[in-house]
Amino acid sequence: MNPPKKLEGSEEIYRIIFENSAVAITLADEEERIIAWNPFAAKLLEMDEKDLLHKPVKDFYPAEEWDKVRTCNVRKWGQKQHLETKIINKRGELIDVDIAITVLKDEAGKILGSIGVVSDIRTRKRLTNMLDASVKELADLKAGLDEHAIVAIIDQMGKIIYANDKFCAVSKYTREELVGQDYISFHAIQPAEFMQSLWKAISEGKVWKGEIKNTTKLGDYYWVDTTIVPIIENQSYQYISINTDITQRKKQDEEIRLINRDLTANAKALREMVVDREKAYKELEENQRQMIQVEKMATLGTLAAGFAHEIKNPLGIILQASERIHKVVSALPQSETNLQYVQMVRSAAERANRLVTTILRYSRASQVEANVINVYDVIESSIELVKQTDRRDEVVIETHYTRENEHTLYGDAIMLQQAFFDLMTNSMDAMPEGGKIKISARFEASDPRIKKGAQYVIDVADTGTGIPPEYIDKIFDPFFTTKEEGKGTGLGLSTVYLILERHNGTISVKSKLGEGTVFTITLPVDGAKSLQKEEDDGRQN
Amino acid sequence: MGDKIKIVMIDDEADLCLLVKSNLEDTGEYTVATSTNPETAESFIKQEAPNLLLLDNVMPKRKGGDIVKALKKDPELKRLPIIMVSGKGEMVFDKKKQEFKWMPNNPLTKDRGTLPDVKGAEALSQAYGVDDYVSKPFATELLIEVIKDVLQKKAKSKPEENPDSGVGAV
Repeated sequence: MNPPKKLEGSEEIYRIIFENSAVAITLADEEERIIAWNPFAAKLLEMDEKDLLHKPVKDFYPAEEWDKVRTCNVRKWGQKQHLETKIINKRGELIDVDIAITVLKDEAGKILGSIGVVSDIRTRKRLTNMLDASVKELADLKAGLDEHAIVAIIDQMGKIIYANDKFCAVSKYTREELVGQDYISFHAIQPAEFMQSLWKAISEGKVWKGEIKNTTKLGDYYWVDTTIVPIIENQSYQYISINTDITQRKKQDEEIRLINRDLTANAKALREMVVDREKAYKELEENQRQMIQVEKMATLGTLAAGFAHEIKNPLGIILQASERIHKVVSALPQSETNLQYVQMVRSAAERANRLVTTILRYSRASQVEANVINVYDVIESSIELVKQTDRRDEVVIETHYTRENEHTLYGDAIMLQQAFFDLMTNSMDAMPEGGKIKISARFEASDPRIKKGAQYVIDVADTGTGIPPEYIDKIFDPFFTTKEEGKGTGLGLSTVYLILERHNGTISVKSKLGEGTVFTITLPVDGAKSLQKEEDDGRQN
Repeated sequence: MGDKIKIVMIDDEADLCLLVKSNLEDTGEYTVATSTNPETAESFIKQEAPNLLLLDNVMPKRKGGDIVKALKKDPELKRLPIIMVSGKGEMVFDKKKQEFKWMPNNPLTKDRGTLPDVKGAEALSQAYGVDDYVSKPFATELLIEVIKDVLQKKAKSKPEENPDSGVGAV
């Protein structure tokens, strides 16, 4: 270690620097042999004096690196700083180094030697390599991402500060048009609340994921599946928005949705159709039932009418013949007993005739023909009829209604007359000692809320003997009678029932033994409208 | 026979004809000629020249109603009083249709239970061409009452008689 004379003045200072330097420093003579080195150099090369002293500098370089050093022409230019190269340590390992070479010359320009300052750059090199690899990886990732996704970077204020090619391609905007725009309000078609909730999430540092509908510059729609990631950049948030174009999927979704909607609508329509059909079927069934009933009644009526006529002829003969026999027998002596027999024939014929007559009336009740009528007229004419046929002064018939609120109804006047007539006759029979028949009537307007049509409610009340409770359920049954043999046919009240049924009305009864009976009739004003016969010339009534 | 009332009865029931004839003639006030053939009604009536006709309604081949229509068109017979006899019941006038319907009734009671819609003989005559009716089966007593009633009314309306008019009066 013999530093050149020139350096003698500051030798101590330089020695300290030399000895303590954290870079390797070597000194070579004019022959390019190592003549001095500092401790760091020995450490770097893992060599001692015998390895280093007077060794040619060239030996410390791999051949190709030495060529690189040579081409620097340091001897010509006097200095070379920051030559990145490799040297070989004692174990033959290559060490990445950064070398600064300074050529030493005397005053005449003669080369005296050279100083090499060698920095170990293995760590830096490794980091650089890693960084390069990272950068490459990132670049690759970015390339991949750009290929796949629409990427935008948004600043804290929500302005687009970066838009990738895909963004431009899909949105049809140029990058210049995109950058600086408000990312949210610019082209998204979403309700304000939706975008506000998005912005709230990301500004709180949360990742937001969702689907957003946007418009392109040309006005088309495109859908993106978006992930927005907040990143801290210079103490403030930036947002990376990565979007996958899902327009195609959305279109399919929409098509599926429409198909679904149509299917749902069709299913609903089908269900409604089924319900309608079921309803129609039920109505049909009910109509059919009614038709069969009407048909049955009509058949019964026709049959009964023909039958009754056929019976009435022989009855006529029996009656006329019994008159003659009566005459003949009464001329004979001791005729009393024999006349009784004749009277029996006559009574039996009369009874048979009554029975046939009531059956005829019953069957006639099934053949209701409706006209526009006034219910009060019907009630009053039936009272008239009762007074004509069964005048009994001990029975008073009263009407309790005012004819102020009169409404016409569809009905068979003759049959309704018969019904009221039969009810009153029935009451008369229940009042052998006399009493009172009270007829009240009131009109009830329709009530659409409970699907009730307009109707009349008529009470026929008497002060008679009343109906025993055990009979009350049977009184409308055909052929049920409590009257003694020969007096009743059991068809009176069932005829009334049938007449009202044909008018879609009802009859109910309340009775108290010893106090009397009330029959309550309801008569819907349109109850028999469908039974109207042919020409309707209005109201000649 | 001279002052007796002459009655023609047309009914397909021969037994009934015989009985009614006997019962009426027994009173000494009537002579009765009967026929069971509705098809020869006009010639039979003209031949017998009665004061009154008892006519069954429901007969085979020709209904009583059709005979009435034919008689009303015959100038010689249109004034002949007619009592319809039927097993169908009571006649009820349907104002709406301007025609009579047969209603079941109980004709054995003396009061025939006429429904208020039946306006008696005038209405019957106007609408149907008959002067009154009797439902089968009937008692002779009732039949005589109706016959007397009809003849009385007919006699009262005599002043109106005008043989050349009223052909289309039905």
